[in-house]
Amino acid sequence: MNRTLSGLLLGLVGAVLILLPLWANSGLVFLAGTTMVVGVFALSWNLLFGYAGLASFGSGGLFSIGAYTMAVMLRGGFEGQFLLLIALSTLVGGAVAFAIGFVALRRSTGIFLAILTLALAELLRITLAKIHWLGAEDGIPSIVRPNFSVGLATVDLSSGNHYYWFMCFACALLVGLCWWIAHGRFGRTLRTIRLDIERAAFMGVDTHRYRLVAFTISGAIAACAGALFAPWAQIVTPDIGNMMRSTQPILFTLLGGASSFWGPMIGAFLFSAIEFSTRTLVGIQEIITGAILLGVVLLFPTGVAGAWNALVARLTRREEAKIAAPALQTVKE
Amino acid sequence: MKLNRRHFLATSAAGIGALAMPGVLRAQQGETVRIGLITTLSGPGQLYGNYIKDGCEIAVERLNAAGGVNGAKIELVVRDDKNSPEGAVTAFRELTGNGIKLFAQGTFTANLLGTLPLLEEADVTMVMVGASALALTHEAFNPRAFRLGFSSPMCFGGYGNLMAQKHPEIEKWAMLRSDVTALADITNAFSNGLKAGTEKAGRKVEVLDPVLVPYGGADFRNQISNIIGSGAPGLFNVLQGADAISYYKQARTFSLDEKFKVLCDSANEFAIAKAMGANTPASLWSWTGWYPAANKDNAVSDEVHKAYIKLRGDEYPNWYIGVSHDSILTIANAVAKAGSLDAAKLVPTIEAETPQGALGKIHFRKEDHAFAGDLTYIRFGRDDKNANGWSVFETAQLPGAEFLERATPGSKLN
Repeated sequence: MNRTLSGLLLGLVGAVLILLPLWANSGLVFLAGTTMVVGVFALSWNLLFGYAGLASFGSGGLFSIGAYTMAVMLRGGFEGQFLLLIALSTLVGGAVAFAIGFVALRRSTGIFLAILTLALAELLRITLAKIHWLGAEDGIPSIVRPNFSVGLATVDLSSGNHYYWFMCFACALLVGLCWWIAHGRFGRTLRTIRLDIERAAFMGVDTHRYRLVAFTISGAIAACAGALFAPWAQIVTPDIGNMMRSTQPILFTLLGGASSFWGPMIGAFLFSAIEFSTRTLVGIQEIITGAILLGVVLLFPTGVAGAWNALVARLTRREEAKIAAPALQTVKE
Repeated sequence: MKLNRRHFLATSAAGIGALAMPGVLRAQQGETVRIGLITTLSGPGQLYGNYIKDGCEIAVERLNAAGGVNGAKIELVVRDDKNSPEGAVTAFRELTGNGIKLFAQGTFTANLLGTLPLLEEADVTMVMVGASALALTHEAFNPRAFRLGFSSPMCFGGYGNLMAQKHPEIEKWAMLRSDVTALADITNAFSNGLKAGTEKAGRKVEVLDPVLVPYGGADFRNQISNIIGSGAPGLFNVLQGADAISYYKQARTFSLDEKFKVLCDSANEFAIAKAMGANTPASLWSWTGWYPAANKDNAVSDEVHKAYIKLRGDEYPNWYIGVSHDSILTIANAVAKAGSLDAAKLVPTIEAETPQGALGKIHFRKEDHAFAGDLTYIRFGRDDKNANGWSVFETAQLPGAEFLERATPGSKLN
């Protein structure tokens, strides 16, 4: 029942997102596109946190690496190789994550890793703000949405809502990839490491290698999300990878539920919905948004996804109890 | 209890629809002329955003009291840009999706650079409120946007020129600035203006390289010692916000205002005096975008000043109040004269018109839509006779058009 309902809900959300430009205001479409990308970004972060038990507070830096790589290459006139540029941005993000992980993961986990990654992301932001070639504080504006060829077909992402639909497709692929990683053998091994690292090592799992691979994959997906975001926003600035960006996936995961694969994505959409609904309440928007988030976190400690699963499980148990009830009745004399 | 799937899905769809509803509604342009205001109303930049909002609201109130635009009331639709380009783009797209054709946006450059490329597609007209970055009228120039703000070469070139006129006896100037790349434009412009002004009078001036202080730093004592040791009688400070207050407080212990004959602050204007009260330096020049007392013969300026005192109880409004008021006035005047909301008619109208605003005559250079109004400078300082501990001693105004940088719309200024 839970799986069927979740599947139906997922299908409905997917349909709403795909059909959104046909009936919604362009501001809402832009927000939905942004939310999809940051949702994928949050999923990549939760691959680390929810599965490998590693907390990075600098994922915004990897997001900005992907965004800047894409922006620089599009500015350089390589829009015809757009799909290759996405792959390149992903590889650059993955390589940087690998380098950080290779150095850091043997020496630090927990709070030390969190602070180290936070410091590195801030260092990157400050460096980007000083490089004139990258536009310094003002960043790179007027990023084009590309036209490119795939075989004999030409794909035009520059007009109308084409780029939005491309993002729907790309984000669906990335979500599918995350799902496959999380629910396959690799994901199960990561959860084993998170639950008991000593026991996993005793059983012969190379825990460092698994964590390093997870760190690299997470960084690569974060960079890929950044690469998708650059032509969507059509501007990148050093603040694209600021501390707020790094805390976004943490907030979304907390809201949606870290124990659920879909938690970060649910959190991203819930947060955007609250922000959009309160956008006209100038001056008190933050208070209202904060109060709602606080209420959600206090009411549902396992996040919205956790609460949903608990509700469905409870209803399922009741139905099963009803069916099983006659067998439990005492025989009346 | 049995969970009904159909009921659940219907409820979910209704919920999602309800959330999206405000964005879906397409309001019609009817009895009101709607102007979208996008500014920073949360985060570190909200101080300026709140000034902009106040100034725009004062303008709407004044204009509506005077009959609106050709009988139609003006409605200001305010959105927070969250101090990010994507926040600005979200707000811009939402408002254009709701049929709004007129925009005022300020003030951070990156947020404006996010929306400028979208003006054509949305077929709208925009006034950029208080923005100073050169990129906005040069490499990122958009023919549908007008910058009602002051570029560094204009206001600080004028500043240097004014100091050359007022203090011909000073032949050596020191400069101090925060270690932020963007602020280098300010010291360069001041230095160039100073040199141009002294050369014009047949004299020479030495301008020392700026002493750099850490941005967001807490200890400026080493740098203060350095500039005092430079032997220059003139000093130009370029620090912003809290850094400026900390710096002036620490400089007091060095008796900075006794060591220099002329002290100039870039653009903090009354923020320093309001924060320091009776500990304000004895005499300090500052540039300002608008100072009501310098516009005594300007009825609009007086009215805006009175409206702001009524609104906030503050006799010394920040210059953004005047600039944002005039941004709305510019749009309203153009709509009234053109009788249309179409950018094709509004743009030439704004180029040609020179309405009377709080800042004086609002005039834009046709080539690049840079504001070419007057420049205002104030000298204020410690005053024991005044209850708040400080007073304004002197004001000066210069024609801004004389100091505007070369127009290079569409390409970078070299």
